[in-house]
Amino acid sequence: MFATLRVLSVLAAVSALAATAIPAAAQAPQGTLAKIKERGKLLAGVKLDTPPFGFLDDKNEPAGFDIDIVRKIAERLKVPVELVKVTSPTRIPLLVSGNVDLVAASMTHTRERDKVIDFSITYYTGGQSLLVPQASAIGGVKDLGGKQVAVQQGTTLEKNIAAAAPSAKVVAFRDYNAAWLALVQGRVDALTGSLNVLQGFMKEDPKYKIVGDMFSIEPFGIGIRQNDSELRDEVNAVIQDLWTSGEYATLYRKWFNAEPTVPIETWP
Amino acid sequence: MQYTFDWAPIWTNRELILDGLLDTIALSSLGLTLALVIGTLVGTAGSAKARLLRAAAGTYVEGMRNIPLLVHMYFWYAGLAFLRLPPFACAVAALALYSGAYVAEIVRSGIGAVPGGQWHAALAVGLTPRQAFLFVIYPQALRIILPSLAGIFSQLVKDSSLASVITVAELTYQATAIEGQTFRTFEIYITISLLYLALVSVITYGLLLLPGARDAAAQGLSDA
Repeated sequence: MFATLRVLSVLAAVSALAATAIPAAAQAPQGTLAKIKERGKLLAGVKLDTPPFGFLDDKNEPAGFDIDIVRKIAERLKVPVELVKVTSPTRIPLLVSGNVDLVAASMTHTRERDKVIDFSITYYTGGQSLLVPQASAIGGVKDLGGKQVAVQQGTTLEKNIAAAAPSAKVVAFRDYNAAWLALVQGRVDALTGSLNVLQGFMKEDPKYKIVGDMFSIEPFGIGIRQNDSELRDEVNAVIQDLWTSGEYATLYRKWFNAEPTVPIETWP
Repeated sequence: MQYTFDWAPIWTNRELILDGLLDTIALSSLGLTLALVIGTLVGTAGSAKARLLRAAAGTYVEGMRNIPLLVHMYFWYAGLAFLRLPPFACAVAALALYSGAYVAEIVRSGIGAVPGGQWHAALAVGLTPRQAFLFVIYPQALRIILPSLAGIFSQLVKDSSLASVITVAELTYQATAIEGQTFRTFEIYITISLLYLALVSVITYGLLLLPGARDAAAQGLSDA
Protein backbone atom coordinates (compact mmCIF):
# COMPACT_ATOMS: atom_id res chain seq x y z
CA MET A 1 0.00 0.00 0.00
CA PHE A 2 2.69 2.45 1.07
CA ALA A 3 4.79 1.42 -1.89
CA THR A 4 1.94 2.19 -4.26
CA LEU A 5 1.39 5.55 -2.63
CA ARG A 6 5.03 6.40 -2.95
CA VAL A 7 5.08 5.44 -6.63
CA LEU A 8 1.98 7.53 -7.19
CA SER A 9 3.44 10.57 -5.45
CA VAL A 10 6.65 10.27 -7.46
CA LEU A 11 4.60 10.06 -10.63
CA ALA A 12 2.61 13.09 -9.57
CA ALA A 13 5.80 15.02 -8.85
CA VAL A 14 7.30 14.07 -12.19
CA SER A 15 4.19 15.07 -14.11
CA ALA A 16 4.02 18.34 -12.18
CA LEU A 17 7.62 19.03 -13.15
CA ALA A 18 6.89 18.21 -16.77
CA ALA A 19 3.85 20.47 -16.67
CA THR A 20 5.88 23.42 -15.36
CA ALA A 21 8.65 22.78 -17.84
CA ILE A 22 6.45 22.98 -20.91
CA PRO A 23 4.98 26.46 -20.39
CA ALA A 24 8.46 27.76 -19.61
CA ALA A 25 9.66 26.50 -22.96
CA ALA A 26 6.57 27.84 -24.70
CA GLN A 27 7.24 31.30 -23.28
CA ALA A 28 10.64 31.46 -24.95
CA PRO A 29 9.71 34.31 -27.28
CA GLN A 30 9.14 36.56 -24.24
CA GLY A 31 12.19 38.76 -23.84
CA THR A 32 14.87 37.63 -21.43
CA LEU A 33 14.94 41.13 -19.99
CA ALA A 34 11.27 40.92 -18.97
CA LYS A 35 11.88 37.45 -17.57
CA ILE A 36 14.79 38.67 -15.44
CA LYS A 37 12.64 41.48 -14.00
CA GLU A 38 9.76 39.09 -13.36
CA ARG A 39 12.01 36.56 -11.68
CA GLY A 40 13.71 39.29 -9.68
CA LYS A 41 17.23 38.07 -10.31
CA LEU A 42 19.83 37.69 -13.02
CA LEU A 43 21.11 34.16 -13.58
CA ALA A 44 24.71 34.46 -14.73
CA GLY A 45 26.81 31.49 -15.83
CA VAL A 46 30.42 31.87 -14.71
CA LYS A 47 33.50 29.67 -14.68
CA LEU A 48 35.27 29.18 -11.39
CA ASP A 49 38.47 27.54 -12.61
CA THR A 50 40.06 30.39 -14.52
CA PRO A 51 41.78 32.93 -12.28
CA PRO A 52 41.78 35.92 -12.46
CA PHE A 53 38.56 35.88 -14.53
CA GLY A 54 36.51 33.54 -12.41
CA PHE A 55 37.65 31.55 -9.38
CA LEU A 56 36.99 30.89 -5.71
CA ASP A 57 38.86 33.29 -3.43
CA ASP A 58 40.37 32.66 0.04
CA LYS A 59 36.93 32.74 1.59
CA ASN A 60 35.65 30.26 -1.01
CA GLU A 61 33.53 32.98 -2.60
CA PRO A 62 33.36 33.44 -6.39
CA ALA A 63 35.60 36.31 -7.46
CA GLY A 64 37.30 37.65 -10.56
CA PHE A 65 37.08 40.06 -13.46
CA ASP A 66 34.17 38.27 -15.14
CA ILE A 67 32.28 38.06 -11.84
CA ASP A 68 32.69 41.82 -11.25
CA ILE A 69 31.42 42.60 -14.76
CA VAL A 70 28.39 40.39 -14.19
CA ARG A 71 27.67 42.15 -10.88
CA LYS A 72 27.75 45.50 -12.72
CA ILE A 73 25.25 44.19 -15.26
CA ALA A 74 22.90 43.08 -12.46
CA GLU A 75 23.30 46.50 -10.84
CA ARG A 76 22.14 48.19 -14.01
CA LEU A 77 19.17 45.85 -14.34
CA LYS A 78 18.41 46.60 -10.66
CA VAL A 79 18.16 42.94 -9.69
CA PRO A 80 20.39 40.72 -7.53
CA VAL A 81 22.62 38.28 -9.35
CA GLU A 82 22.75 34.54 -8.89
CA LEU A 83 26.02 33.04 -10.05
CA VAL A 84 25.67 29.64 -11.68
CA LYS A 85 28.85 27.63 -12.10
CA VAL A 86 29.32 26.44 -15.67
CA THR A 87 31.95 24.29 -17.34
CA SER A 88 32.87 23.91 -21.00
CA PRO A 89 30.39 21.06 -21.67
CA THR A 90 27.55 22.77 -19.78
CA ARG A 91 27.72 26.46 -20.71
CA ILE A 92 25.94 26.25 -24.07
CA PRO A 93 23.17 23.83 -22.99
CA LEU A 94 22.50 25.94 -19.87
CA LEU A 95 22.33 29.11 -21.92
CA VAL A 96 20.16 27.91 -24.79
CA SER A 97 17.77 26.10 -22.45
CA GLY A 98 17.25 29.28 -20.45
CA ASN A 99 18.79 28.06 -17.19
CA VAL A 100 21.09 31.05 -17.27
CA ASP A 101 20.51 34.46 -18.89
CA LEU A 102 24.08 35.04 -19.95
CA VAL A 103 27.50 33.43 -19.70
CA ALA A 104 30.61 35.35 -18.71
CA ALA A 105 33.30 32.70 -18.85
CA SER A 106 36.45 34.17 -20.43
CA MET A 107 35.12 33.16 -23.84
CA THR A 108 36.91 34.30 -26.95
CA HIS A 109 34.47 35.57 -29.56
CA THR A 110 34.90 33.68 -32.83
CA ARG A 111 32.77 33.57 -35.97
CA GLU A 112 32.32 29.85 -35.61
CA ARG A 113 31.03 30.19 -32.04
CA ASP A 114 28.86 33.12 -33.05
CA LYS A 115 26.74 30.77 -35.13
CA VAL A 116 25.52 29.12 -31.93
CA ILE A 117 25.07 32.03 -29.51
CA ASP A 118 25.33 35.81 -29.58
CA PHE A 119 28.15 37.76 -28.00
CA SER A 120 28.41 41.19 -26.39
CA ILE A 121 31.00 43.66 -27.60
CA THR A 122 34.56 42.82 -26.59
CA TYR A 123 34.92 43.46 -22.87
CA TYR A 124 38.51 42.33 -22.62
CA THR A 125 41.25 41.76 -25.14
CA GLY A 126 43.76 39.11 -24.25
CA GLY A 127 46.94 38.01 -25.93
CA GLN A 128 48.51 34.61 -25.94
CA SER A 129 51.97 34.03 -24.56
CA LEU A 130 54.33 31.34 -23.33
CA LEU A 131 55.39 30.42 -19.81
CA VAL A 132 58.58 28.36 -19.41
CA PRO A 133 60.94 27.42 -16.56
CA GLN A 134 63.64 30.04 -15.81
CA ALA A 135 66.37 27.69 -17.06
CA SER A 136 64.61 26.90 -20.33
CA ALA A 137 66.24 27.74 -23.67
CA ILE A 138 62.85 28.47 -25.23
CA GLY A 139 62.68 32.15 -26.15
CA GLY A 140 59.45 32.23 -28.13
CA VAL A 141 57.14 30.20 -30.33
CA LYS A 142 59.91 29.71 -32.89
CA ASP A 143 61.86 27.51 -30.43
CA LEU A 144 58.99 25.12 -29.82
CA GLY A 145 59.86 22.58 -32.54
CA GLY A 146 59.48 19.07 -31.12
CA LYS A 147 58.70 20.48 -27.67
CA GLN A 148 55.60 19.71 -25.62
CA VAL A 149 53.31 22.65 -24.95
CA ALA A 150 50.45 22.50 -22.45
CA VAL A 151 47.24 24.36 -23.19
CA GLN A 152 43.65 24.47 -21.96
CA GLN A 153 41.46 22.16 -24.01
CA GLY A 154 38.76 23.34 -26.39
CA THR A 155 40.00 26.92 -26.41
CA THR A 156 41.02 29.23 -29.17
CA LEU A 157 44.43 29.11 -27.49
CA GLU A 158 44.69 25.48 -28.57
CA LYS A 159 44.04 26.38 -32.18
CA ASN A 160 46.39 29.37 -32.10
CA ILE A 161 49.37 27.48 -30.71
CA ALA A 162 48.93 24.72 -33.28
CA ALA A 163 49.02 27.39 -36.00
CA ALA A 164 51.88 29.43 -34.49
CA ALA A 165 54.11 26.42 -33.76
CA PRO A 166 53.11 23.63 -36.16
CA SER A 167 56.06 21.41 -35.19
CA ALA A 168 55.34 21.59 -31.45
CA LYS A 169 53.44 18.82 -29.70
CA VAL A 170 50.36 20.41 -28.19
CA VAL A 171 49.02 18.66 -25.08
CA ALA A 172 45.57 19.89 -24.09
CA PHE A 173 44.36 19.75 -20.49
CA ARG A 174 40.91 20.12 -19.03
CA ASP A 175 41.75 23.37 -17.25
CA TYR A 176 44.61 25.77 -16.59
CA ASN A 177 45.44 24.19 -13.24
CA ALA A 178 46.04 20.77 -14.78
CA ALA A 179 48.17 22.34 -17.52
CA TRP A 180 50.14 24.29 -14.92
CA LEU A 181 50.68 21.11 -12.87
CA ALA A 182 52.06 19.37 -15.97
CA LEU A 183 54.57 22.21 -16.42
CA VAL A 184 55.60 22.10 -12.77
CA GLN A 185 56.02 18.31 -12.93
CA GLY A 186 58.14 18.68 -16.03
CA ARG A 187 55.77 16.69 -18.21
CA VAL A 188 55.69 19.55 -20.72
CA ASP A 189 58.27 22.13 -21.77
CA ALA A 190 56.01 25.17 -21.88
CA LEU A 191 52.56 26.39 -20.96
CA THR A 192 50.65 28.66 -23.30
CA GLY A 193 47.68 30.78 -22.38
CA SER A 194 46.34 34.28 -21.93
CA LEU A 195 49.10 36.61 -20.80
CA ASN A 196 47.14 37.72 -17.73
CA VAL A 197 46.51 34.17 -16.63
CA LEU A 198 50.17 33.24 -17.09
CA GLN A 199 51.18 36.28 -15.03
CA GLY A 200 48.98 34.91 -12.26
CA PHE A 201 50.84 31.60 -12.31
CA MET A 202 54.21 33.33 -12.47
CA LYS A 203 53.33 35.30 -9.35
CA GLU A 204 52.67 31.99 -7.61
CA ASP A 205 56.07 30.59 -8.49
CA PRO A 206 58.96 32.84 -9.61
CA LYS A 207 60.86 29.86 -11.05
CA TYR A 208 59.02 30.48 -14.31
CA LYS A 209 59.21 33.26 -16.90
CA ILE A 210 57.09 34.56 -19.74
CA VAL A 211 58.95 34.60 -23.05
CA GLY A 212 58.46 35.89 -26.59
CA ASP A 213 55.90 38.24 -28.07
CA MET A 214 52.17 37.74 -27.87
CA PHE A 215 51.13 35.73 -30.89
CA SER A 216 47.37 36.09 -30.96
CA ILE A 217 44.59 38.50 -30.08
CA GLU A 218 41.75 37.11 -28.01
CA PRO A 219 38.62 39.28 -27.92
CA PHE A 220 36.45 38.14 -25.00
CA GLY A 221 32.67 38.46 -25.24
CA ILE A 222 29.78 37.72 -22.91
CA GLY A 223 27.55 34.96 -24.27
CA ILE A 224 23.87 35.71 -24.78
CA ARG A 225 21.15 33.64 -26.38
CA GLN A 226 20.77 33.97 -30.13
CA ASN A 227 18.41 36.83 -31.07
CA ASP A 228 18.31 38.17 -27.51
CA SER A 229 19.17 41.68 -28.64
CA GLU A 230 17.39 43.52 -25.81
CA LEU A 231 19.63 41.95 -23.18
CA ARG A 232 22.65 42.28 -25.42
CA ASP A 233 22.05 46.04 -25.74
CA GLU A 234 21.93 46.34 -21.96
CA VAL A 235 25.12 44.35 -21.51
CA ASN A 236 26.88 46.39 -24.19
CA ALA A 237 25.75 49.60 -22.49
CA VAL A 238 27.12 48.40 -19.14
CA ILE A 239 30.51 47.59 -20.66
CA GLN A 240 30.71 50.96 -22.40
CA ASP A 241 29.61 52.87 -19.29
CA LEU A 242 32.23 51.07 -17.24
CA TRP A 243 34.84 52.29 -19.70
CA THR A 244 33.65 55.91 -19.80
CA SER A 245 33.29 56.19 -16.06
CA GLY A 246 36.79 54.84 -15.48
CA GLU A 247 35.50 51.91 -13.44
CA TYR A 248 36.77 49.57 -16.11
CA ALA A 249 40.36 50.69 -15.54
CA THR A 250 39.89 50.22 -11.78
CA LEU A 251 38.64 46.67 -12.27
CA TYR A 252 41.44 45.99 -14.74
CA ARG A 253 44.08 47.18 -12.28
CA LYS A 254 42.44 45.18 -9.50
CA TRP A 255 42.57 41.89 -11.35
CA PHE A 256 45.47 42.22 -13.80
CA ASN A 257 47.70 44.64 -11.93
CA ALA A 258 48.14 46.68 -15.11
CA GLU A 259 46.58 49.50 -17.14
CA PRO A 260 44.13 48.45 -19.86
CA THR A 261 45.95 48.43 -23.20
CA VAL A 262 43.02 48.01 -25.59
CA PRO A 263 40.17 50.54 -25.28
CA ILE A 264 36.54 49.41 -25.27
CA GLU A 265 34.53 50.61 -28.28
CA THR A 266 31.96 53.15 -27.14
CA TRP A 267 28.92 54.33 -29.05
CA PRO A 268 27.72 57.91 -28.72
CA MET B 1 14.44 26.03 -26.09
CA GLN B 2 15.66 28.24 -28.87
CA TYR B 3 18.23 26.15 -30.58
CA THR B 4 18.85 25.15 -34.15
CA PHE B 5 20.77 21.96 -34.66
CA ASP B 6 23.57 22.14 -37.17
CA TRP B 7 25.55 19.02 -37.91
CA ALA B 8 27.94 20.52 -40.43
CA PRO B 9 30.65 21.28 -37.81
CA ILE B 10 30.58 17.61 -36.80
CA TRP B 11 31.20 16.51 -40.37
CA THR B 12 33.98 19.09 -40.72
CA ASN B 13 35.68 17.59 -37.69
CA ARG B 14 35.16 13.97 -38.73
CA GLU B 15 38.88 13.25 -38.82
CA LEU B 16 39.29 14.21 -35.18
CA ILE B 17 36.29 12.10 -34.23
CA LEU B 18 37.62 9.12 -36.18
CA ASP B 19 41.05 9.54 -34.55
CA GLY B 20 39.36 9.61 -31.18
CA LEU B 21 37.31 6.52 -31.97
CA LEU B 22 40.42 4.60 -33.05
CA ASP B 23 42.17 5.69 -29.88
CA THR B 24 39.22 4.53 -27.80
CA ILE B 25 39.28 1.17 -29.58
CA ALA B 26 43.04 0.78 -29.06
CA LEU B 27 42.80 1.81 -25.42
CA SER B 28 39.85 -0.48 -24.74
CA SER B 29 41.28 -3.52 -26.49
CA LEU B 30 44.64 -3.20 -24.72
CA GLY B 31 42.87 -2.61 -21.42
CA LEU B 32 40.57 -5.58 -22.06
CA THR B 33 43.39 -7.97 -22.90
CA LEU B 34 45.43 -7.02 -19.86
CA ALA B 35 42.38 -7.04 -17.60
CA LEU B 36 41.62 -10.57 -18.79
CA VAL B 37 45.16 -11.73 -18.06
CA ILE B 38 45.19 -10.08 -14.62
CA GLY B 39 41.66 -11.27 -13.89
CA THR B 40 42.40 -14.88 -14.82
CA LEU B 41 45.55 -15.01 -12.69
CA VAL B 42 44.02 -13.26 -9.69
CA GLY B 43 40.70 -15.08 -10.04
CA THR B 44 42.45 -18.45 -10.14
CA ALA B 45 44.50 -17.48 -7.10
CA GLY B 46 41.29 -16.43 -5.39
CA SER B 47 39.76 -19.85 -5.87
CA ALA B 48 42.89 -21.69 -4.72
CA LYS B 49 42.98 -23.85 -1.62
CA ALA B 50 46.07 -22.10 -0.21
CA ARG B 51 44.96 -19.43 2.24
CA LEU B 52 47.85 -17.09 1.41
CA LEU B 53 46.97 -17.06 -2.31
CA ARG B 54 43.33 -16.37 -1.51
CA ALA B 55 44.26 -13.54 0.85
CA ALA B 56 46.59 -11.98 -1.73
CA ALA B 57 43.90 -12.15 -4.41
CA GLY B 58 41.30 -10.71 -2.04
CA THR B 59 43.58 -7.82 -1.09
CA TYR B 60 44.22 -7.02 -4.73
CA VAL B 61 40.53 -7.09 -5.63
CA GLU B 62 39.42 -4.93 -2.72
CA GLY B 63 42.31 -2.51 -3.12
CA MET B 64 41.74 -1.93 -6.81
CA ARG B 65 37.97 -2.07 -6.89
CA ASN B 66 37.37 0.29 -4.00
CA ILE B 67 39.28 3.20 -5.45
CA PRO B 68 37.57 5.30 -8.15
CA LEU B 69 38.96 4.75 -11.63
CA LEU B 70 39.51 8.50 -11.99
CA VAL B 71 41.90 8.36 -9.05
CA HIS B 72 43.69 5.41 -10.66
CA MET B 73 44.17 7.57 -13.76
CA TYR B 74 45.55 10.48 -11.78
CA PHE B 75 47.77 8.15 -9.75
CA TRP B 76 49.59 6.86 -12.82
CA TYR B 77 49.73 10.18 -14.62
CA ALA B 78 50.27 12.79 -11.91
CA GLY B 79 51.16 10.70 -8.85
CA LEU B 80 53.94 8.87 -10.66
CA ALA B 81 54.83 11.83 -12.87
CA PHE B 82 58.54 11.27 -12.24
CA LEU B 83 58.32 8.02 -14.23
CA ARG B 84 57.31 10.06 -17.30
CA LEU B 85 54.98 7.31 -18.51
CA PRO B 86 53.16 8.34 -21.69
CA PRO B 87 49.50 9.22 -20.98
CA PHE B 88 48.29 6.31 -23.09
CA ALA B 89 50.30 3.81 -21.01
CA CYS B 90 48.99 5.38 -17.80
CA ALA B 91 45.42 4.97 -19.01
CA VAL B 92 45.98 1.34 -20.06
CA ALA B 93 47.55 0.53 -16.68
CA ALA B 94 44.71 2.19 -14.77
CA LEU B 95 42.00 0.51 -16.84
CA ALA B 96 43.64 -2.94 -16.75
CA LEU B 97 44.35 -2.97 -13.01
CA TYR B 98 40.93 -1.60 -12.11
CA SER B 99 38.85 -3.76 -14.45
CA GLY B 100 41.14 -6.72 -13.76
CA ALA B 101 39.80 -6.77 -10.21
CA TYR B 102 36.24 -7.11 -11.48
CA VAL B 103 37.25 -9.78 -13.99
CA ALA B 104 39.03 -11.64 -11.17
CA GLU B 105 35.84 -11.87 -9.13
CA ILE B 106 33.93 -13.13 -12.15
CA VAL B 107 36.60 -15.70 -12.98
CA ARG B 108 36.62 -16.85 -9.35
CA SER B 109 32.87 -17.32 -9.35
CA GLY B 110 33.09 -19.11 -12.71
CA ILE B 111 35.66 -21.56 -11.43
CA GLY B 112 33.55 -22.06 -8.32
CA ALA B 113 30.55 -22.86 -10.50
CA VAL B 114 32.29 -25.74 -12.25
CA PRO B 115 31.31 -28.81 -10.22
CA GLY B 116 34.14 -30.16 -8.07
CA GLY B 117 33.70 -33.61 -9.63
CA GLN B 118 35.08 -32.26 -12.90
CA TRP B 119 38.34 -31.42 -11.20
CA HIS B 120 38.65 -34.78 -9.48
CA ALA B 121 37.74 -36.62 -12.66
CA ALA B 122 40.34 -34.66 -14.63
CA LEU B 123 43.04 -35.62 -12.15
CA ALA B 124 41.79 -39.20 -12.07
CA VAL B 125 42.28 -39.62 -15.82
CA GLY B 126 45.88 -38.54 -15.35
CA LEU B 127 45.85 -34.84 -16.25
CA THR B 128 48.29 -32.65 -14.37
CA PRO B 129 46.64 -29.85 -12.32
CA ARG B 130 47.73 -27.38 -15.00
CA GLN B 131 46.18 -29.44 -17.78
CA ALA B 132 43.06 -29.90 -15.69
CA PHE B 133 42.70 -26.11 -15.47
CA LEU B 134 43.46 -25.50 -19.14
CA PHE B 135 41.35 -28.25 -20.70
CA VAL B 136 38.63 -28.92 -18.16
CA ILE B 137 38.01 -26.07 -15.73
CA TYR B 138 38.67 -22.90 -17.77
CA PRO B 139 36.63 -23.86 -20.87
CA GLN B 140 33.61 -24.68 -18.74
CA ALA B 141 34.05 -21.64 -16.52
CA LEU B 142 34.38 -19.41 -19.57
CA ARG B 143 30.96 -20.46 -20.85
CA ILE B 144 29.40 -19.73 -17.50
CA ILE B 145 30.94 -16.29 -17.12
CA LEU B 146 30.67 -14.99 -20.69
CA PRO B 147 27.54 -12.89 -20.09
CA SER B 148 29.12 -11.31 -16.99
CA LEU B 149 32.35 -10.71 -18.90
CA ALA B 150 30.42 -8.99 -21.66
CA GLY B 151 29.03 -6.66 -19.00
CA ILE B 152 32.48 -5.82 -17.67
CA PHE B 153 33.82 -5.28 -21.18
CA SER B 154 31.10 -2.82 -22.07
CA GLN B 155 31.81 -1.07 -18.78
CA LEU B 156 35.48 -0.86 -19.65
CA VAL B 157 34.83 0.75 -23.04
CA LYS B 158 32.77 3.45 -21.38
CA ASP B 159 35.28 3.80 -18.55
CA SER B 160 38.00 4.51 -21.09
CA SER B 161 36.43 7.96 -21.52
CA LEU B 162 37.99 8.92 -18.18
CA ALA B 163 41.38 8.79 -19.89
CA SER B 164 40.45 12.12 -21.46
CA VAL B 165 41.40 13.89 -18.22
CA ILE B 166 45.00 12.73 -18.53
CA THR B 167 45.23 14.00 -22.13
CA VAL B 168 44.72 10.70 -23.96
CA ALA B 169 43.20 11.81 -27.26
CA GLU B 170 40.30 9.34 -27.23
CA LEU B 171 36.71 9.98 -28.23
CA THR B 172 35.61 12.04 -25.22
CA TYR B 173 38.78 14.14 -25.36
CA GLN B 174 38.17 14.98 -29.01
CA ALA B 175 34.54 15.80 -28.22
CA THR B 176 35.66 18.31 -25.59
CA ALA B 177 38.08 19.86 -28.06
CA ILE B 178 35.50 20.12 -30.84
CA GLU B 179 32.89 21.47 -28.42
CA GLY B 180 35.29 24.21 -27.40
CA GLN B 181 35.99 25.32 -30.96
CA THR B 182 32.46 25.12 -32.30
CA PHE B 183 30.20 25.45 -29.21
CA ARG B 184 28.09 22.66 -30.81
CA THR B 185 27.69 20.91 -27.46
CA PHE B 186 24.51 18.97 -28.23
CA GLU B 187 25.61 17.75 -31.63
CA ILE B 188 29.05 16.53 -30.60
CA TYR B 189 27.91 14.72 -27.46
CA ILE B 190 25.03 13.08 -29.31
CA THR B 191 27.52 11.94 -31.95
CA ILE B 192 29.96 10.36 -29.53
CA SER B 193 27.12 8.79 -27.53
CA LEU B 194 25.99 6.99 -30.67
CA LEU B 195 29.57 5.91 -31.38
CA TYR B 196 29.98 4.51 -27.86
CA LEU B 197 26.62 2.79 -28.18
CA ALA B 198 27.67 1.16 -31.45
CA LEU B 199 31.07 0.15 -30.13
CA VAL B 200 29.72 -1.40 -26.93
CA SER B 201 26.94 -3.20 -28.82
CA VAL B 202 29.44 -4.73 -31.21
CA ILE B 203 31.58 -5.99 -28.33
CA THR B 204 28.69 -7.32 -26.25
CA TYR B 205 26.95 -9.11 -29.11
CA GLY B 206 30.26 -10.23 -30.57
CA LEU B 207 31.10 -12.03 -27.33
CA LEU B 208 27.74 -13.74 -27.25
CA LEU B 209 28.38 -15.09 -30.75
CA LEU B 210 31.17 -17.26 -29.35
CA PRO B 211 30.18 -20.92 -29.65
CA GLY B 212 28.23 -22.11 -26.65
CA ALA B 213 27.92 -18.69 -25.06
CA ARG B 214 24.15 -18.64 -25.22
CA ASP B 215 23.49 -22.10 -23.84
CA ALA B 216 25.69 -21.81 -20.74
CA ALA B 217 22.72 -22.30 -18.46
CA ALA B 218 21.44 -25.28 -20.36
CA GLN B 219 24.59 -27.34 -20.10
CA GLY B 220 23.29 -29.23 -17.12
CA LEU B 221 26.68 -29.72 -15.51
CA SER B 222 26.47 -31.91 -12.53
CA ASP B 223 28.63 -33.71 -10.10
CA ALA B 224 27.25 -37.03 -11.23
